[in-house]
Amino acid sequence: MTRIFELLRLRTERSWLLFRSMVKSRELRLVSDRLNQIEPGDILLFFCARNELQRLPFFFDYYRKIGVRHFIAVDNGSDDGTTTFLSTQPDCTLWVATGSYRSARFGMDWINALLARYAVGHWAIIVDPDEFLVFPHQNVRPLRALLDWMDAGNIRSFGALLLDMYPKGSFSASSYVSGENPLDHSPYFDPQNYQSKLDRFYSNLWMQGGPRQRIYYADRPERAPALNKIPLVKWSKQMVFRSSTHQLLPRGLNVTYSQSAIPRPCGCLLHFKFLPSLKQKAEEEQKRREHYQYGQEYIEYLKRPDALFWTDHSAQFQNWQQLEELGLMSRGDWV
Amino acid sequence: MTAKIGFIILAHSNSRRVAQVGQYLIENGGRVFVHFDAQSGVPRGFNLSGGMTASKFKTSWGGFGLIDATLHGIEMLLLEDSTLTHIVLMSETCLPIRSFRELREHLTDHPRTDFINCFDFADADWIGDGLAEERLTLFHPFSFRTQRRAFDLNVALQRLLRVQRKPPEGITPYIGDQWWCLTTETIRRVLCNPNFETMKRFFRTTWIPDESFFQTLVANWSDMPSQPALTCAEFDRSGKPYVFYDDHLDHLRSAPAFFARKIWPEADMLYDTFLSHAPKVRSEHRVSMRSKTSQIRRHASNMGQNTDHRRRGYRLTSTKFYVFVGFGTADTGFADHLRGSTDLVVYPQVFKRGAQFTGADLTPGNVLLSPRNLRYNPHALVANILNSHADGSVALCFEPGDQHGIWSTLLRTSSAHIVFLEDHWRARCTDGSNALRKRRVQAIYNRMIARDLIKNLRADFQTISWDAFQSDRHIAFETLGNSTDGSDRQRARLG
Repeated sequence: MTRIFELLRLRTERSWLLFRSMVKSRELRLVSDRLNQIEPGDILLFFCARNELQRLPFFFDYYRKIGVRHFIAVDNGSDDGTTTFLSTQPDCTLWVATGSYRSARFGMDWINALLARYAVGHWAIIVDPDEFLVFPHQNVRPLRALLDWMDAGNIRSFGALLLDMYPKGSFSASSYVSGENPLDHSPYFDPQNYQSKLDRFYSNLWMQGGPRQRIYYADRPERAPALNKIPLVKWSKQMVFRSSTHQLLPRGLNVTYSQSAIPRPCGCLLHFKFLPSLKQKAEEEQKRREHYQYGQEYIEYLKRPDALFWTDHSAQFQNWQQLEELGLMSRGDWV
Repeated sequence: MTAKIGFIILAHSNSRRVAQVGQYLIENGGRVFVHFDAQSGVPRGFNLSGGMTASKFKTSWGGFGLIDATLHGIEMLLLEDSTLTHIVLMSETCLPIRSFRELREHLTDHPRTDFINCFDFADADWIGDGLAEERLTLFHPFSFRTQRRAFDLNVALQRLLRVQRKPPEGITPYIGDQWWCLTTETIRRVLCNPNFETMKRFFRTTWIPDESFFQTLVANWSDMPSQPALTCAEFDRSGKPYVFYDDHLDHLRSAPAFFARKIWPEADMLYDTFLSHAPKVRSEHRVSMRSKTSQIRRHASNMGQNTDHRRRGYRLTSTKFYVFVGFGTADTGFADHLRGSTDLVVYPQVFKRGAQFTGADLTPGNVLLSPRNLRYNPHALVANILNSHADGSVALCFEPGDQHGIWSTLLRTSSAHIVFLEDHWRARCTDGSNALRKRRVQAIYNRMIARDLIKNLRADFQTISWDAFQSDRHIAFETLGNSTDGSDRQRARLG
């Protein structure tokens, strides 16, 4: 009986989210339309951006190399030339969102709406402009190989751990040039400091930890940002993201980890948040109060902009094998 | 007599690679028959000069259409050239990994050998996942892939009705990989057997007959010697065949087989290398296909531990670590003793309620040792501490009154070596620092907890008696070295 109620609740929530995203999609205005380039089976990338001009050149390079065929972007009120940059990319379709980021559930309503319209039947990558996907065998195989393998096994979602990357010194005092590989700027990460809890209702793992928990949330670890992500999904029309890209409905898609002795491949998302521009961004976001928990996270950054993340124990990023050796990702049965 | 080889390729949609492989085989003197799934039909633009193409049967996975298509192929090949000596069954993802000349020489040397994997059905080891005997003992009219619900319902219903089909009289069912190389002599003998139609009728409603139809027929009706199949196809633990990519080139070069499957269709380098006409350099050392399996096993043992959450509970680590129970209560300087006398990394207060961590609060993995962190997720904290010392030289100290949540996990963890000090609760009675009454209350409380802890201890823990510890404080870690032989572990008296 409880199970029936559970299923009913999930179904209602899913329908509500889909309905909501449809309503919110009216805030989107198509600026540059290259949708006719999309061919069946193409890998699509969906993202939301605001004043990200500095990161975008490398972002596009990286994902094009991996095998993304078309970018679908939502620009939310940029004033630094991001809009122009995005509208001039030959493989990018751009929407401009006029509404509030916050009331669109931090952009997820827009993304959900676009996913429902264009991603059905495709593999979709859903990331932020500061997140870079690392997957098993990346050095020798294209992403398409992994997707074909998952298709053959009827696996529809691929989980990743959000790995916060940081520089050796304080982030506000460093320098980063647009187009530069952010790995040259922030090559370090925490090798072990991660925890997970199982969400019994939505079946996802809540992962926390990393430098942000260690530095900014030491006295209340439970409030630290979630690090579990589902950046890669074979989209179909009933799917919808619930909470950022942490939770997906139907809930079976959240099981990106192994439940039996058979391991599942999973990856990492290198998260380059700590670029020098973060300080300026944090000041702005603190005023805008458009982010999660009214930008609480940004307030923390501003309190200690010169925090040092780096310690003697920090690891320097080398390749995916290193992350696997540390137990942060896995090739699973895909050898 | 030189072997003349015919090839049947069962294909779905991968027309580019089928054409490439088919062309290679034809150019080298083979006869080729390609069958495309009737649902998709022969792809537009598919052209195989000198080969035969058909698209008559629905060859969905697990269905009898695959057998129909194969039988049709055999018929067509023998009509085309009745002097063929061998017929090879391939899929669209099979790739010859040795030169055609080598294959022909091998078959010429073995003119009367069938290359097919046949295992007795009773030997269920071969089937990795899913139904085993019920493949044959139940009726399976529904497709597993497209009519999944009907398939499951049908199986459940027949289990309820206790359906037990028997194979035709005098036939022992065999099972093995789908891909084979048979002599035409065997094939003719099988096809001409008077019971052939009966067998076809029986297998039509079984599940995955492509893994048992020819295997059963050949094993029962042919008296020619048989050898393992020429196709190397290994399956992972969920029953899916492994896929080969460009980075497996060396691996395939040294594989002891003539065909490999599955090849990823985009693996250009593999196709270009193995289908080029240049003589290939074979590497000297031969690696068995098992190396791939062992590679997986190795990785599965300790990888992805952070994202690998078993519902059965946390797996802390697979490397050995020590847990000292009660020693800190008995001797406040115990941790320092331990540090001084052994090369263990000691964490004395990890479990303590309200502990104030001092000194280096970060472990080598950047794990923050803080009471908040411990209270929030004790399992994760301990797992992280252990993982950050991969060489496995960690000692944790556990005292009565510490956070108990972790205790059951420690007990479950087979890599935890627990050293337990008997009667450690006595300590507070003898140190004389507290008022008598308070001391006794504390001691009684500690004793209760100690009994509670000891209740669930496994048999392979190590206990040290109070008196022995009092007379020699080093006894706790002097025994660590020889504690592994285990004979003296099971001391009788507990609490």
